[in-house]
Amino acid sequence: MNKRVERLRELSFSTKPYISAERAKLITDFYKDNIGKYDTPIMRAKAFYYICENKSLYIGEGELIVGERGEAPKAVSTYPELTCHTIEDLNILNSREKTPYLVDEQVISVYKNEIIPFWQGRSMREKIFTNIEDMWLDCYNAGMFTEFMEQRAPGHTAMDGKIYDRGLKDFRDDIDKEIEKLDFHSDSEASAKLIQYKAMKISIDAVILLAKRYANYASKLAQSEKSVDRKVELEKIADNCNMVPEHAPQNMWQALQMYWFIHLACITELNIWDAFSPGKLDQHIYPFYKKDLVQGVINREGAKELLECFWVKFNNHPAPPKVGITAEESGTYNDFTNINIGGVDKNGLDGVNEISYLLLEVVDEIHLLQPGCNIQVSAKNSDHFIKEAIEVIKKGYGYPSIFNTDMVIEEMLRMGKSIEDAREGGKSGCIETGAFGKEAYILTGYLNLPKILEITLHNGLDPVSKKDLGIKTGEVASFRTYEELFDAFKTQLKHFIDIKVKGNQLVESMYAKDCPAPFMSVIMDDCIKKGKDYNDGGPRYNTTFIQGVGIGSITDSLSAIKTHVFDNKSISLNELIKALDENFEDNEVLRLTLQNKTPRYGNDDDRADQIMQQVFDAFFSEVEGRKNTKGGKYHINMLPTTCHIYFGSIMGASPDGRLASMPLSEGISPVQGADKNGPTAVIKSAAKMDHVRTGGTLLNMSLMPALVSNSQGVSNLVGLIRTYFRMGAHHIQFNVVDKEVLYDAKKNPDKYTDLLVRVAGYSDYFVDLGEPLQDEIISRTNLGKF
Amino acid sequence: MSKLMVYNIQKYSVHDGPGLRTTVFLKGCPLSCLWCHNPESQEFKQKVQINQRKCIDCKICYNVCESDNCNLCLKCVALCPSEARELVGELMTPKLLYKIIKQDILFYEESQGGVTFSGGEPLCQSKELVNLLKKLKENDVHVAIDTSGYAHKESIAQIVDFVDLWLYDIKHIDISKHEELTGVGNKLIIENLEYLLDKGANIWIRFPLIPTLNDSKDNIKSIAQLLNELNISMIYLLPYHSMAEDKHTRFEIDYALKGLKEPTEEQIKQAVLIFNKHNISVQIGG
Repeated sequence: MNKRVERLRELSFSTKPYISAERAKLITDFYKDNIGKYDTPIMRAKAFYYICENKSLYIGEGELIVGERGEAPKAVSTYPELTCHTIEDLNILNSREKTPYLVDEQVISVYKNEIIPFWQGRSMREKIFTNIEDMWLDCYNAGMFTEFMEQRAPGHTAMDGKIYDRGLKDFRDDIDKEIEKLDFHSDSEASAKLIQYKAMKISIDAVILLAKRYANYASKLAQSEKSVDRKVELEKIADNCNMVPEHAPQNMWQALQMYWFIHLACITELNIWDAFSPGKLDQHIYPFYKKDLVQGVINREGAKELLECFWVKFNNHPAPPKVGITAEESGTYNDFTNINIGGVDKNGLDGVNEISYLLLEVVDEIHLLQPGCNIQVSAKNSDHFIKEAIEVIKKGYGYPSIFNTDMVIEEMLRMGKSIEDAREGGKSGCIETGAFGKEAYILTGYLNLPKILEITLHNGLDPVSKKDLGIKTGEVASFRTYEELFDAFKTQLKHFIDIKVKGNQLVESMYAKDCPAPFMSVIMDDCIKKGKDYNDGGPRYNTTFIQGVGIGSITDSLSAIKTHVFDNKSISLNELIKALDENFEDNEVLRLTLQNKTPRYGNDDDRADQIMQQVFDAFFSEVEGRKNTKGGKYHINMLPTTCHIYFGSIMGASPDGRLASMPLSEGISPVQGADKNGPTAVIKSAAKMDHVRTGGTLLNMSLMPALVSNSQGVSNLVGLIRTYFRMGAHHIQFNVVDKEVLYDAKKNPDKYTDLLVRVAGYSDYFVDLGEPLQDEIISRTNLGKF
Repeated sequence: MSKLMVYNIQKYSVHDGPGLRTTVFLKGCPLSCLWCHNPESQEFKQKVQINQRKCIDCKICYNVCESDNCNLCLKCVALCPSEARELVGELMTPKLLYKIIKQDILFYEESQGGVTFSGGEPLCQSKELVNLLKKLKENDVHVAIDTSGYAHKESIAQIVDFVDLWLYDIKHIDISKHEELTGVGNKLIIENLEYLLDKGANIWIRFPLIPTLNDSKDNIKSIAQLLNELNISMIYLLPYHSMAEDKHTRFEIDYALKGLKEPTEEQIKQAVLIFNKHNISVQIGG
């Protein structure tokens, strides 16, 4: 990387995230002055316009891509209309040990005097917790499930290629045409649509205005700039901001700036989950690169510099602060932008191009926390592409993660997407499948599968909260067979999913009504065509996910019960539950017997793997196809972020020998240490899950660097990945790092501030992780043998 | 059907031939190399071990044991909660072994890997192996044999048609020195190598580089000359590493090479240079 990029990277890396009250103050000022004047979509659009009109501008020294959400890099905005942080929250954010956000006195004072007095009682978070049923709240507090939208808005999507052919002006024309078509005589929704359209147009004007402000600012800086080179750059930046996003970009530089304004607009409008993502960046940018090369306006080095400047912008924007349970399930600065590299193009052909390789170089050089990236691997892509990615992976940043594009497409087809839309889709967030630019695929919360078994074993009682959360499915002594026990589990499963879905319906309808996203709606097909908001079923596809957590733990727990209680009859279910309730105190022999003398998931052992399939089927059948409020359907995902640690922390001991409050298994990985037959067996077990029936699964493997130290090792790893994908799997990621290094990093965090590791669908700084997660990453089976 | 004496099966093996492999370690070896990494593999007999590091001192094994001398009833192994009691050496039918090998067949296909029979000395169980190897061959599974070469010619002749690759050790060129280091001379080993070459077998020669024991210039030069005579142009050099010491401690076996240092980069380079001088290319490891 050159000096410019090095400087930008260093600033982004070393600046500590801090809370900026600017956005909160602007939206509060606007709402105070205008409350009650407009319909909600217009109110929100006008507030957004007000922010774009008045927010401070920032063009850093040497920057080529411009635009910050806050006043400067790492200034993190807040969204009091979603979550109105209390002074206590702010103090915790400022002082907490992991992922703190600095909060200065001025922010506290603005919050105390302006933000809190206005928003307290009005935020989405408070509205949700006030209106939701008590049973839901009890389950939520007991760690049965989490709720994504309790303090962040639905987002969970990525951009397709449309913004590279058309400017926002063109979208505004589309809207005008739709307005002309409105039939107020026979369409009862015409008025509602008109309101949406007006809001969308205001939001378009807002973003164009912001860009023009940047153009003027850049021109002004150019005038007083002493360096001739920089002066020229600033003038070009001004030209770029005058061109995009209003008009379609004309060259690679403008294309990147175009995306960045769209990104900035989306994350300024609302605190959307997973920030936003450019999707298949290599395929979108490549035509511009090719054209610029031919015209001689850019060379490879120049293109790389632009991409690196672009890359740093993501890292300047940490996730807005999370508190409470959401901070537990997703404790990270990472906002989950996940850039797709490779895969297939819209004709289904090999989509890897020169920019794909360039991006791998960029990732390798920049290796900041954000953005995350992944490679899409199709049978049509060459091994060479995978090998180049492994060269980056083996440095141990935790990315790129690796996806089976062919399966991702199949998943989308199964959910009813067209082949064209499926091919233009891919991955965002951690491992979520979606049709980029056309789908709202909302993750609504993690479901604690082992907790459901815990409650089943206590006849509906949660032994931790001592509340009757479940239903009476029978005293365990009454179960004569394993099948009877499993039936009871299924009954409880249905019960809890009913509660979760009922809660989801309320939250979804609240967002549709109270928290529309007019700008997101502009860029997501078919919101304009339908005259509907992104949060109200506007997109072409509207999917709701529930994510299952702890499949390894529940499989091993059921397997232990089946083996020792029903098959060997060496212990009764009552005795087992007593031991669990006592956390195996003075009963290490039983605990180890359960742990070591049970067929366990992750060993290519059908006895255990069939139980995994049985649980998966039950979970799938219960969720799949339920209707959401937006005309779409429910599906399942299998990923945990950091939720398996939180879920484990509030549970008692489990029949697989896990002690109380220890983490559950992660993603679809086996329980930590349960896999004894090496990585191929883990992969075989994991592939017995029917991945195509999910919207994503997450398999994490740690790998010793020695195994990929030469070309033979790299080829072998390609073989491992290809085999997993040939068996129909969705995703795999590798943590390539020495155990010794991790031990040392835990002891001497100061030495390892930039050590990135793969956590669960994203990378994070090891020293920022809580101790239980650090220990877990160390204990995840290291697969190297030499 | 006669069974095979197996002491370990290692999936995702990457050091015993090309690609991703399953390595089946057969128990029993006529050699007793001083640096042996798998000392528990030398004995032909089964044995119950205690891994003290895992033992939680629950005494269950003592309570179930009905005999003063172990009669391999294996009750202690079955009941030991912490897996400290382990059986070293399991008699397995070729059918079961085939099933286990076959589990990873897709990995072999995608990586051009296969199965490697190692040891111990796999040629000691040729008779029991032959039908299994035939079946593997019929099912397109690539088979490698990792051998010391110390075996009756018939043991080789019996299986040679079903083996795709031989990993063949040359440990020392001097007969008496070879005997000192491994317990047996090398005459038979070199004869068998010639036999395999006559048969057109695909062979990877491997040379474990053990400082002070076989790393003299003369020895390396002589090995290189032998390879020249045999028209072999490549050798895999396996530098000694001291990890064997840990295993000796675990199995309570004396380790003769205690304190022996691993070869330095420079020492390895020296050895490589000598081979190169004789037009033999060298791959480190593998």
